[in-house]
Amino acid sequence: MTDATPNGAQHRLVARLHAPVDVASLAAFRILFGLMMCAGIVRFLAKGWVEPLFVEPTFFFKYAGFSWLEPLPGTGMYLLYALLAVLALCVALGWHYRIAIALFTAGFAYAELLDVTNYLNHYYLIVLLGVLLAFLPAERAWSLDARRDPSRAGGTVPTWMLRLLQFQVAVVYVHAGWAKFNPDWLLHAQPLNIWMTARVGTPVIGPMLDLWWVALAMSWAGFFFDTTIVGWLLWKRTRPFAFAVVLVFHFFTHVFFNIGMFPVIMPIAATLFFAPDWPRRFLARAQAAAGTFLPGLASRLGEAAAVQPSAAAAPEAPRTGRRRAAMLALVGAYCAFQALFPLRSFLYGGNVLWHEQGMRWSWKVKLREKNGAVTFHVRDPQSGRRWQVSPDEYLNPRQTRQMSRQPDLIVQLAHHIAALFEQRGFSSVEVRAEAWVSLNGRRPALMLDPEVDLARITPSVARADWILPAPTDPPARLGRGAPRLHAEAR
Amino acid sequence: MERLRSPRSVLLLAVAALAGVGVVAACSSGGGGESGPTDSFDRRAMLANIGENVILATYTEFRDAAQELKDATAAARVAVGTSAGVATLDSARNAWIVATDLWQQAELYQVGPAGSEEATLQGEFLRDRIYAWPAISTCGIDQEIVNQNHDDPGYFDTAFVDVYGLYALEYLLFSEDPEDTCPSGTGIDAAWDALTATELAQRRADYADAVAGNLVSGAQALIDAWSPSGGAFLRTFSEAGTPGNPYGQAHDAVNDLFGALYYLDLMTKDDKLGIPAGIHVECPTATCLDRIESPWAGRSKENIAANLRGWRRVLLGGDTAAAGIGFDDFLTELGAADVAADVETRTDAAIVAVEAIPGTLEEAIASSDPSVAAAHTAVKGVTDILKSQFISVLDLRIPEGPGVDND
Repeated sequence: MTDATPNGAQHRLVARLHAPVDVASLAAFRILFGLMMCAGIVRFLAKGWVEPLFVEPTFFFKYAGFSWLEPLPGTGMYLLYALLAVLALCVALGWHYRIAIALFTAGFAYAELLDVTNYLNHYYLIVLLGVLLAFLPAERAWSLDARRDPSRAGGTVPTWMLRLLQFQVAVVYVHAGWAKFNPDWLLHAQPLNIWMTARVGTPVIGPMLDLWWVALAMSWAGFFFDTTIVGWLLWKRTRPFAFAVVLVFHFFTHVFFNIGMFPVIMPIAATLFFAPDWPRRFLARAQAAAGTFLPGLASRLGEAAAVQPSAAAAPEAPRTGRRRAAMLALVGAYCAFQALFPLRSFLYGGNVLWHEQGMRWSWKVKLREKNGAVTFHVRDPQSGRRWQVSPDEYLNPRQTRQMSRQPDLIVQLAHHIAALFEQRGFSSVEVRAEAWVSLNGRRPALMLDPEVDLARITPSVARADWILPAPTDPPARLGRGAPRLHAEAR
Repeated sequence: MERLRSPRSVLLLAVAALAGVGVVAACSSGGGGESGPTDSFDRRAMLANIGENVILATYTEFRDAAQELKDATAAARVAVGTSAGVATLDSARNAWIVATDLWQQAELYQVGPAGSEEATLQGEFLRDRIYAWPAISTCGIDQEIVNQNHDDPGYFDTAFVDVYGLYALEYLLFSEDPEDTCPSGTGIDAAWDALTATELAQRRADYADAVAGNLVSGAQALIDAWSPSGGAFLRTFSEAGTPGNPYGQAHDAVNDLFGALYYLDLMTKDDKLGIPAGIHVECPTATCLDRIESPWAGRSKENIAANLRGWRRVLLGGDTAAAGIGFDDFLTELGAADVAADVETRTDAAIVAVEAIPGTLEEAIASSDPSVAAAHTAVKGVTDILKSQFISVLDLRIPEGPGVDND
């Protein structure tokens, strides 16, 4: 006999989402996330990126609402990154876990909010995962906190906690997948065709990479992978195959693209789709494998794999039905936002890869090869005097490259230029931008209306009518076997 | 079959696949792995042609021209105050023009030893030894005319680059101003004022000859750095991506070359044309004639045209499209012949526009001749397409220091 009333279904859903599951998966994710971030931060420092990203620039592109943020002076940014590495290690060890993950996430978010040109999708994902982890008791197992204070140990967590993290990962894959549902990607194999053609020097497989149909096949494979991999990971029967594909896919992205920690983050995140007790089974197998040769290690592995009696017996904090529902409502609202927010680019119409409105925080990963040449034309209406201003005057080459393809950043720099002219005694100068931009190898086209005074544009989320329509000609088709569809048209 | 379907088998297969890919990755990321195969377009052939027949050939031509310049300055030195003085000085001036025209093409080739170590592999910044503009100090040159230390064997090893090279020679050979260019208080006024006109001419000629001699050795050092018997950068460049080569892939060397070509944007378009003409914001007044590149010889316009011709030779792989493999062939082979044609058309248009400036660039700017703005627009047309479609289609990267992650 089932209760078919809405209230009954709701209760069943709430009960199901609160059903306890093994904490092992969440704890393992905490450890892997902390270690990965520690390694990532150390790598960031070792590569000397603090200087060009935070110290050298004299101008920083601001996020709306965060224009008050400034880089720490002196060696402050170096110290911040060193602190982030330590905090990430604390997260992995589960030492003062809640404080560590909260501080890590806040510090990391602060650094990423300093300059829009530093935006990366996987940095955004790290912040989101950090925020979620800060609210989840991932220290209940295999943590120094649990060892120090047994009352914080526990063998289970509510199901919704794992589901929430799974959902976050699913959002990334699914949106990244459907973002590829565009003619450039699926019909013209761009930008993969451009990138792969440049990598023909890769041993063994290199000679295949300038074959246009290989790029097309890879484009479709990428589309199917992103849009369906979550389903394959969720289905128990296909999960091992899917994880193998995840490993191979992300390793290839690491080989071909300068994509940083992304190829590491996603396989680690994919472990969230395993059965919640997978770490214990993994340790048990490791114990069996080590048993013959390393009995000492086997014993330690066995202890780690076992559910601690105190943890297993630890009672869940009693929650009222109302608190449970409120919690789920909050989680539901977060999920709804995550699911819908990346879709906002549809509200703007046109080609998001061109106008870039709704581009950030939408998991549009590696979708465009876009380069531009931007020249600012400044005019003093009083004297009629005109100047040309190169962005290089204020930006480093990396910032220039990022700015030249993102209209809102061009506007920000236009405002900065106007302010500098005002300091020089030229009040109310007009600043126009001549932005020749090539999207996926197309003939360069003007991205912004060159007649619009950008100094008078107020940044907003409204549709920008000062951005010109995207070019309608097809993108470049390069390499061997590429059908020359538009040679005459160009 | 059942065994293959087990999760463990699948993971083992994945690990094996990753190991295979790992080998591929390891080989592709370093210079010590297996030899990378060539693709349908042989980048190494392009690099070899550009390296040998464009860059090194230009260096060699320049070295020969520098030697003729040295001979001419030596003749002018001994002829000061004689009836042959004017003629030998004219010969030296003409020799300087020939050498400078060649070097202005080579200005675009700051890849390898000519470039800075931050910007290019094996950069030694040998370019500065030949032409350090805009790092210039006429006052420093005047001080040397007074101090006469240039006969010391190690003088050019310790002197700043802004007092020798082609720019110093232009000042020494073409300037007829009897006054020094140092601000008062520099300490040379009395000594300078004590020089007779002939003494001044003699000292200028003496120093010019010393600078020309150093120019020859600078040019030779550059050639040596490229030649197989010396630094062998030509081999490094043209065999990029082969085992042991510091360029992991041939494409990395292509990128280095492209980075050097950014000279066209930053120096040719902005520093040489935009700023003196008052178009560029760095000029605070209506015009900035004090920023003109060649104020004494009046060759600013010709220098800009030579820069463009230097780029054109890289684009075409030589003086004509049929001369050798260049970027035009690369683009055409990839299927972007239209881009190659567009870039060539824009380059030719820019050369024509620059050469159409009447008189010297300085005169044209002073008279607000519209041809200057037209030339600037035409040069910008070249740099615009280089920074947008050209860089996109070839998947090149602007020189941006340490390559950070992206996604």
